[in-house]
Amino acid sequence: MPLSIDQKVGTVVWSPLGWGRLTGKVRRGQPLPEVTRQRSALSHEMGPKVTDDYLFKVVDALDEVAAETGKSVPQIAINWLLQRPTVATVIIGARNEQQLRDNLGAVGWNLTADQVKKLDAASAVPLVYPYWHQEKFDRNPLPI
Amino acid sequence: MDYRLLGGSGFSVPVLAFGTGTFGGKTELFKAWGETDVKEATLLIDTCLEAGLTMFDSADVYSDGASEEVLGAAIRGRRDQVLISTKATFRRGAGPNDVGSSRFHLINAVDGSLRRLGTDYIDLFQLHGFDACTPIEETLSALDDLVRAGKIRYIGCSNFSGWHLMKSLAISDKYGWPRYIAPIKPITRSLAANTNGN
Repeated sequence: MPLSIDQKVGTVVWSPLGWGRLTGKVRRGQPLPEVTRQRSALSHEMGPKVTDDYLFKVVDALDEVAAETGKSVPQIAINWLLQRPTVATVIIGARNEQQLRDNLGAVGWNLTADQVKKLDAASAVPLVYPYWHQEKFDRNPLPI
Repeated sequence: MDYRLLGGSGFSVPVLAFGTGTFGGKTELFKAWGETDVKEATLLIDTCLEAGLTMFDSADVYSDGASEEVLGAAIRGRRDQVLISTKATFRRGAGPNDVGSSRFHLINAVDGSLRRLGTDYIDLFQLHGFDACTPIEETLSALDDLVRAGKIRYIGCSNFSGWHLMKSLAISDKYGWPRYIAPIKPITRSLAANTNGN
């Protein structure tokens, strides 16, 4: 994203729900839904590795914001993405009409700054080198 | 539906696009994503268009070409109402030139996508990955030719590292070729902290 800001390149986001993880149906201590690509060992292998601790911390924050807004977990996740710098469009996926209609409800409204901040905090990851080092030099602030 | 300009281009896209990796259901990997057929795809696209979602994203490797075929069949007769993005670079056959971002493979790949989609142009054509075996000049000059031939309108890239994108943009600028206007990437928190982010 820092490069995209500098070079005026737009971002197209794929897999906005993290391979079905942020559908609101993947929860601590519960079996995976009957139909999900997460049940396919091959699909799981081809996707990103996410620890349960990290995932459920994010899901907890999404749940809180969902309760505040009356929106669904995937709607919150997609709306958050649309507020990230350089994002032009988010590619949704749907196996059926119901999922599609839910995702279409992710637009036409905006999370508040506080809600975005809460989701930012829950999803923050430790900076890898050289970013943690750069962060300490006031002539080279992180652009986002 | 809100629209946003895609990067520094004059091309507006809806803030939601529809990914068609679920269309087709061929191959073990893509069956796990979905098995939407033409009839179901047509109904989903009807719902998208009613909501103003006009952009549909595919790739030649999705379900071994079947995703593009289903999408093409489902938009037949209404091509002018939709924006199509698709991708190439990954392996499509056993031959030595059935893979990559060479001039040879990209020209074949675009012709194959146009045939499966049943259209004569692709709105946004994206490289699906970085091919380190092909000179970037060869890739971008082939894309420039494809734009001039009217087969593709804008170019983007996916799964590139930051330096792959920056080097490619610099080469486009040096020769006056089209720039990638959109890197496509999965949800990732804090891309400043991700050395693969771009």
